[in-house]
Amino acid sequence: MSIRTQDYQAHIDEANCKLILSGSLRLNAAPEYQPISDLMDAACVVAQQGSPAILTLDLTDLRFLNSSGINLLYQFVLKVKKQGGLGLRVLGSNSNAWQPKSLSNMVKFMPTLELVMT
Amino acid sequence: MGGLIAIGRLRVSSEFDDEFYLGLPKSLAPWDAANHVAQFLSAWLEETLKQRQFSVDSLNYVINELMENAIKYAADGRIELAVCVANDALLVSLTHPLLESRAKIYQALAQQVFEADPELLFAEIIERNTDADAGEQTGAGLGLVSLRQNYQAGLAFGFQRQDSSEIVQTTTQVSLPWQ
Repeated sequence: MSIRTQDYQAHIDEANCKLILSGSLRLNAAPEYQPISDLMDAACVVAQQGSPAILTLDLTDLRFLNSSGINLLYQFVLKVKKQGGLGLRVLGSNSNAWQPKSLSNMVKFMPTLELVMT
Repeated sequence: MGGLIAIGRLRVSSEFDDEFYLGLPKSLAPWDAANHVAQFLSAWLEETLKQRQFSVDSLNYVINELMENAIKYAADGRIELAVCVANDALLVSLTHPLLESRAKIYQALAQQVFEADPELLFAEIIERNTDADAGEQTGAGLGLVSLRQNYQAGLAFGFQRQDSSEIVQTTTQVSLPWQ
């Protein structure tokens, strides 16, 4: 399952229970982000069948994310926390300037979330 | 002309060493214009201001956020973007017309972003969006508060009401301290 455009890619790596977002995401508000939100939900279903049930969200190659996209990520974290039963690991890169700034707060919203910055 | 309502300290041309202006009509600003303008100005200023230390990525984010807001919400008219070089900071200033009803909403949001603890407000906006339908969710408040929280940016806003019209000229100024 994947979405590929000129600007960004979103892909579920089922074998590794991983959702990979890459490129530059500058979509206009929540309705335009809906296909990615749907893909995130599908990735949760895949990851819930794993043992342990952990979804890895790989943002290492996501170079740019606008504030609507940041909202999407945080809404997703809150949804996973609320539903329970699924762990969340987020991979980021310090070489993408927005990531250390914007991802570090996620742990406050979901204390069990594992944030790995490289 | 009505009076200017300012939130924060709006800075004026006499305070700047240099200014770079870009103006375009709203009708020629599709969504992609935010990206194009942000990419172009960031790359160009990286070359032009080599003697200054600033984050090109931060500048890119700021311009993109302000332009996205203008493209979404501005009334018909001219969107004017200025990047200003001051002693202490690089400023991005965006001015555009807003319908009065929209300007009231933006003014209340600006006041909140200016006064609130950015960390608490960030959490509040995320929670608020959780309860909203997808169509009602917006990154507007989140974008402004993230500028304060994540980029240590200073914010100022201006609202210039014009008599005999429902248009409010709205200015958003973001200052990024030199590194």
